Amino acid sequence: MIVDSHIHLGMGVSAPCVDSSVEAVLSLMDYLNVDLSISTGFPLMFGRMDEGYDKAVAAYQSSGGRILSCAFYNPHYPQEDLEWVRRCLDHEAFVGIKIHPPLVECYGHDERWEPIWRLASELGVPIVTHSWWVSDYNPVQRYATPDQFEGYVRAFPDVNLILGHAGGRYEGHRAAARLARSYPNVYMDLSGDSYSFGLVEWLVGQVGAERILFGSDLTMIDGRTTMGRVLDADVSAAAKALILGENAGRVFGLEH
Amino acid sequence: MMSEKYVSPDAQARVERLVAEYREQKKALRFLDSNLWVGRPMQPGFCLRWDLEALLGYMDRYAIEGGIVTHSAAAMEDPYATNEELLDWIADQERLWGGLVVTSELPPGYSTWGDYLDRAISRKARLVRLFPASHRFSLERWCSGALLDALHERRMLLAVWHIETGWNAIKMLCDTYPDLPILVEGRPQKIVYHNRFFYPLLERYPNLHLELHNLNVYLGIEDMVGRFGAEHLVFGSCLPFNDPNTAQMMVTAARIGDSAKRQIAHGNLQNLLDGVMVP
Repeated sequence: MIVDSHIHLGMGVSAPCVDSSVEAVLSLMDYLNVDLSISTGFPLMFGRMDEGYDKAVAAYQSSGGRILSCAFYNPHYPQEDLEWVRRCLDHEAFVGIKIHPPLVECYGHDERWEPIWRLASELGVPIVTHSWWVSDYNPVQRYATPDQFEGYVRAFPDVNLILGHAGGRYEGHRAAARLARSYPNVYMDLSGDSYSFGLVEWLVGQVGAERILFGSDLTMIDGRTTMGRVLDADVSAAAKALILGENAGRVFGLEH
Repeated sequence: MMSEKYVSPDAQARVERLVAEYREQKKALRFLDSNLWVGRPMQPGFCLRWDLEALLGYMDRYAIEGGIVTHSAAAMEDPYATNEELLDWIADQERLWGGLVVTSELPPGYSTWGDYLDRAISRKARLVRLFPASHRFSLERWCSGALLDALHERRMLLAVWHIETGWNAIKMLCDTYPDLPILVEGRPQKIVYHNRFFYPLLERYPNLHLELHNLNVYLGIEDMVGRFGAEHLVFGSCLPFNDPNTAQMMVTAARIGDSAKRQIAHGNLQNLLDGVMVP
């Protein structure tokens, strides 16, 4: 099974998109031998809940169950969003919860995230978070450095946390690996533009292939940039199989 | 936790097949790289060897047949001394050409840019990379006109980073120097958010090229080849800073014709290298 564990259906206006349709995503999945993808749709991320829910369900149905989704939680609207997350996860199209501390400008360790960790524990689903490192040209990244999640990871050992982008840049990768070495419920995905030479091999050496998930960041970033890095990495074929899909299957409880 | 030994034989066999196919495709495309680096960088990374021997080994490992290499220190300290060191290093390397870093100041000991460039070209230099923001100069004629005229006359490749120039300056270069091949590299920031700048420029300027190592726009290769032709896209890896597979699979697995793939992988850069006026 090959799983792209990090895509976004829809279009973000700051990143022009050639074709944001479900059909285009499916076509590329077929071409690259990707069996399943897990999306957090832009409408859900930006507070258009009805539209986002309907589109996620429609993508699931029109793809024959191949495009799954994460619910999205904004801690500034706890009551409303907890209800939405529950509603989403009642549907088989949804398999996890996405949080994005920089997008909502709320630090990863902030107490306002506690309700969603509690709900993830209750429902038995993983949380996917954006993670990065302090950036001089993108200052909001400071809201999601990997170390900020330690308190929640320790308090909720039954909730698997996937650090999207594996910490983003060099120091973030080191921090992500430190967290994953310390806590068995921490995973990381390779999505985005973290293209450092040797990164895949370094992460496998630090935390084992069992903790790393393939992801792209469609419909912004093309997944071929990351698939090539995994296919040609200097790690075993079994490690590549884990990264490309077996781990996601286990963490998200997927079947194909 | 699942360990490697529990991966099903089917899953492993499927991955092995995909790996073999991908590596074959890379070999067949004979990649020529516009963006190689040698010499120890200041910033940390996961790569531990930066010498020429290591670079040649990486090129063999990742199926890169040849390319243009720049000295990592040239952007940080004396570019003219480091350019000379680089040209010494590659003198006997048939697979490598030199990428120079210069500023708007004439190099010490030279009375014209033509003299400096001709000597460097005769020593296998083929590309110049400019850092106007970091090195504090303007690309306008009042500051860099003599340099740019000399590059233009020689059809020498000019590489720039979009964060160092801005897109208005790139447009000015394309307008003012129509025979100067200009190569925009998305370093250190990806250019996935910049389509609205470079699409109108690609439409207008045949001398504008985009380098691939950070050109990671979803479906972007197919879209750009469809709109503007494959001539504008040039393979570059930014090895050993970046994993070369980032750009390589964007070409091997692009849904474009084989001829367009060959152009992007090596043909376009070969044409640009052949176009440089060797004294």
